[in-house]
Amino acid sequence: MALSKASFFTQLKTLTKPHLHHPPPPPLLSLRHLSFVTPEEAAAERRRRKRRLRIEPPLSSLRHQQAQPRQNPNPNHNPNAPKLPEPVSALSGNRLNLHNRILGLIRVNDLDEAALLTRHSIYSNCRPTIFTVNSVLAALLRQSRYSDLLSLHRFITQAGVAANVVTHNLLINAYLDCRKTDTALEHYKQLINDAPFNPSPTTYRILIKGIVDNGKVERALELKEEMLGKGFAADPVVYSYLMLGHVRNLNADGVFELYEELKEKLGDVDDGVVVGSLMKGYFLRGMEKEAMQCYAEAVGEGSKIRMSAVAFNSVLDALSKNGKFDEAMLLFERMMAEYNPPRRLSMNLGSFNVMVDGFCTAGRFKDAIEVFRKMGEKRCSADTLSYNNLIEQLCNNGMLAEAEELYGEMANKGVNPDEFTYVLLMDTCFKENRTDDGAGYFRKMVETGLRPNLAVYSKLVDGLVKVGKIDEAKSFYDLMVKKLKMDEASYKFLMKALFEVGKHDDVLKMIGDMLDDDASEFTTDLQEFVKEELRKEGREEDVVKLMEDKEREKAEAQAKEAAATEAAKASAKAAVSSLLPSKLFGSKDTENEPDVVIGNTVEAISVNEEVEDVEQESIGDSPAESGSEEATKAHNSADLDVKSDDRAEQVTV
Amino acid sequence: MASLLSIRRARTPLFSFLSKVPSPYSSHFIFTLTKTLSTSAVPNDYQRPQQQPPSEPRDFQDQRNPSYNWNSQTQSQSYPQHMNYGDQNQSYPNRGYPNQGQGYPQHENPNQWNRQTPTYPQPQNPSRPNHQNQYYPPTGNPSLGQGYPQQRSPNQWNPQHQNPSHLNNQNQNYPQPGSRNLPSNQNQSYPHQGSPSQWNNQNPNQAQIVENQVSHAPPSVADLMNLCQEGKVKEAVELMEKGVRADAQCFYALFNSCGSPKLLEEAKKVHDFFLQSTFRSDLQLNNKVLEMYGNCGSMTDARRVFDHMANRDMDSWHLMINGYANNAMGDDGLQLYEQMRKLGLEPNEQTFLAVLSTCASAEAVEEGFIHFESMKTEYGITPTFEHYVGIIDVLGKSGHVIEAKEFIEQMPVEPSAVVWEALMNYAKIHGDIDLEDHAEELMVALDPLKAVANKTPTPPPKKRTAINMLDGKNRLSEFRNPTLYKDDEKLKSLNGMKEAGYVPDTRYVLHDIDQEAKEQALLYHSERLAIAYGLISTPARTPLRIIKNLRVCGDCHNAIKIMSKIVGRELIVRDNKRFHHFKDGKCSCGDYW
Repeated sequence: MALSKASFFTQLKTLTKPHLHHPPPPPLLSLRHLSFVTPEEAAAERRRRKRRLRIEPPLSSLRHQQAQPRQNPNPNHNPNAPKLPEPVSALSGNRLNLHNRILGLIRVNDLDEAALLTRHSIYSNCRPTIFTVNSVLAALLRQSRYSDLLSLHRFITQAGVAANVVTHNLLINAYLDCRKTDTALEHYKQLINDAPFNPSPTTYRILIKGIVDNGKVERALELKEEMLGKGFAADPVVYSYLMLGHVRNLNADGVFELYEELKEKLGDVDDGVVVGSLMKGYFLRGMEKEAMQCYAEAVGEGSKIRMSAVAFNSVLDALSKNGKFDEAMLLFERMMAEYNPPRRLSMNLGSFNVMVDGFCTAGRFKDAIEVFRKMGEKRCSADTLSYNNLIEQLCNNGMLAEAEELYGEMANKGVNPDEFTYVLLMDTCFKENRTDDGAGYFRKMVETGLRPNLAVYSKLVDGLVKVGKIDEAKSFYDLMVKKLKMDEASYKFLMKALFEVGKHDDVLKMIGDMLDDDASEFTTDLQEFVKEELRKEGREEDVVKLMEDKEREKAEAQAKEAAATEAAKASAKAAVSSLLPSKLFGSKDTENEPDVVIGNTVEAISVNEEVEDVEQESIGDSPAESGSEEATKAHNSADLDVKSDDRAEQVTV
Repeated sequence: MASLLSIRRARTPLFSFLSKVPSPYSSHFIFTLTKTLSTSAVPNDYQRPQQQPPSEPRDFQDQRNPSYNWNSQTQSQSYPQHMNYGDQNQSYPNRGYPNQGQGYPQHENPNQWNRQTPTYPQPQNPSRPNHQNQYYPPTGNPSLGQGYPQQRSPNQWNPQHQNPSHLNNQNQNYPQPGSRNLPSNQNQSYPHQGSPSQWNNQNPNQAQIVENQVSHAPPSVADLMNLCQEGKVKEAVELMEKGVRADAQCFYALFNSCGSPKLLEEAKKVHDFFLQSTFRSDLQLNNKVLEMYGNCGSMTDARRVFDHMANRDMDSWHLMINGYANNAMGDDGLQLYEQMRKLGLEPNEQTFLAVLSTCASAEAVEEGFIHFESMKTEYGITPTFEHYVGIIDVLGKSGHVIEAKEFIEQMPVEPSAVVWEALMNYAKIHGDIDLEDHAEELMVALDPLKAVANKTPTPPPKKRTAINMLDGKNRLSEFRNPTLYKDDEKLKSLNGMKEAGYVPDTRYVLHDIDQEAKEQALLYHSERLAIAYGLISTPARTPLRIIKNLRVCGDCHNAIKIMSKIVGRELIVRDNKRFHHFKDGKCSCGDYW
């Protein structure tokens, strides 16, 4: 026995020996290099980033425990320091159940409830993982609910849920969709500087696409350089975005430059997404032959270039926009034939949009509508954008009836028309002298909760006034004035129309409402105009009188308000002074109080004295007594409760 | 302690005895064990008679126990008597002295007695059935001493009647005393397997008796083995603490069943026993220990074992790296891999699977690809399907789902349903609903059995940026009012006011301290602490009920109003005046209390 025991202890001894083969931990704060030549360096960088945040550096954790077992590993660790995002393994048990529950809510598109449940779960024994939060954020982004997205993100940041790369991607995407490139770039910078992980290739795709879409190609090119500098592989998708940006700016040289660069980086470009842009580049230069050669290479027999739906679409677009519509139709036929979901997705909604565009430019509207209807066969469902596109084409070519038919279809298919749809239809109706229908579209738009801007409203009023429907215009004014902040011109326009038909009283009423409303300003220009008009009628002083009346009313209201606040203050003071010892609110306060409360203040003062007595007693006592002192005070204040209630009543009477 | 060890030693001959009985495990280990340990056991046995006297006086105090002493004295002499009384005797001292459990020799009686009468092969086996059989006679044979049977019968009879199989077993034994060899095997395991659970249901008082059963049926390696195989780790550890020596098979089974974070304590105990055993240097078992600690989530322990292993094989490295991966310590796993390479070990296919999974757990995408490349270029290993899945895991766990999808599309291997399912799950985790649907579709196309019935169709996206063929985005804002409408704004500001930040109201702090200290003091009002505790310990949206003996202060009242709004719960606070139901930022008292 003794023998085995001894051997056991030697075992223990060897266990506690420090391990010598561990390399010393790398310094926690090392200088950050912003560019990497090799992916190895990027990997090292990733470790370094993570380590900066770790409570214990990962590799010395073991040694740490041995050196000082069961001690606070890092005494001055700041609880507000950035944290590492949770790993996927955190998603288990109750948290996984919550995740699945919220995914279910997202499936039925109840995003409000999903977001609310996420928030509420933060303050419970089952905190949502960052993955759950990301799912909700992604769903919000998918439904273009940007303000909800941002507020949820702010909430989880405040609640200390560490964001991961997906969160950052979603947020940057949301900023870019809202056309806030600067904010997006700022956020990206923050990600680079602070986050414990590297951005993903998707981050750069989102950023570069968004920035190109917002017309800042130069900035996007800088970002691309930064991305390459970080050791990311050259991404054909990113290059295609940039090339598209150059095409939009009619910069053919830029397109070729990028293509050459990509070729150099990848050796052989086998991704088809760049082909379309390249063709457009050739077309821009007028090198039709090269463009078609490029096309043949990409889609010809035995081509090694992988063509996705997006790649096909860009080629299709290049062809149809550059007078090769026959080729485009052939390609489209081929895409339709190749389409074999889910394996081969050779086309998507965009293909149809391009074709509809192409047919319309060729003036073949019947074909356009036919192609549009074919969408359902290929499991594409038209969205608002495609509808808008076709409706616009039809409206511009005087085919309002067909356009309205399509509009009717939208409701059946569950596609919600947006402002653009309504404005298109309204405009066309006015053009075709169907003012009532046009006004109807506007009303519908406002009723469905869309937010037409001032220009749209002006268009409507303009149209109505032109056909002499002043009353109707006035009714729309009444509808919109509560919602929309109107400018001087729109007021002036309607007033003028009203004066012309001799409705001066209506104008005066309008002015009265304007003066009542703090948000709108009755400018001097407008005053001049109104006075001028009224002078013709000899009622110039009416408006002056009206203004004076309103001034007076306002002054009165202000005075009333001031009096009310004063009274409220006084009552509060009285209540407080009775509650508190005179140390805080000395006798000075009580003296200044209005007469109403004097009767009570006497009472209050007497109570104050009581409290002071208690205090004086307790001053000499040991600090241990302070607890009982507080209790006594609380008791006193409880006694006072009823009294102060009485007082409040008196004041309000 | 000395006696404990002696007991362990004393038990060893049982190995040889049992090995004659057909057993499921190979006898090789057992024979060697018997040889090695039986030699050292001999001197300990001689100590036994010296140890017994101190326990005897105690037993004498119990009047019902005379037979115990008689038994212990006579155990080697009169075999038939022991058969009659031995069992009853054993249970009595235990009832009187529950603490006697480990050290007392009477538990060992059967063993001892087996060992001491090695020349009688027949009586050895029936020893166990005898214990069972003894419960039978009392009714049939009341002359057995009135004191015992009457007390026992309520406890021991009932379970036997309620358990047909139990009864059956004994019936088989009883009428055929001559052919006891066969059923003896069954009975050996019986008291452990069946009785504790059955008997516990009967009556709380029976707990003791259950113990008696377990203890007086001599615990043996076979019992231990049974426990191990059933995964009853705690019982097995108890048994080992009582001195049963586990063999390699037992350890193997125990290491398997201890692999759960909840069983870390047991795992450590088992490991301790393992270190004391003769197989402590066995490579396979040591690997098993690594695996067990990995499964328990204690990589520190695993690393300690690993560092002290005299010789390691590739499996040890793999287990360690995998263990790090499974415990979200991917960085350490990668470091270990570096170390392995520095030692000049040639990684194989399995190594790379482990490395990829550790990259996945460290969310190290770049390194994952670097190792994947080095596998092809440096070591000339052609990546198999599993390696591709490994890369998908790396991408998926790091949130690079789009990249994962592209990787799958470019893989030289044809993706199977498993791959798409993995992608679908990752898309689900990261909330990419479109990718999830796409992957699911592909998965179902390859394996129609995996289709989910009644799946809610995905709501159509409202986002316009999916197809960048038309510049629709820019046109829309031409017609939309960029800011909110006036009425919307009003609504918002109203909500905003309610949600507006909490401003500490220091009028309610009556101490003479500076402003900041007052604000601090407000934070520690008991109702707030209570609410904070309630929030972190209950599921979302459950109402909280707080009771306070003093009146709630105005500042807390305001704070709780805001809290109820933010956390979306009803907070019911009872103070010495009234109930306050806080909900949606309002209080039922209407701020008047």
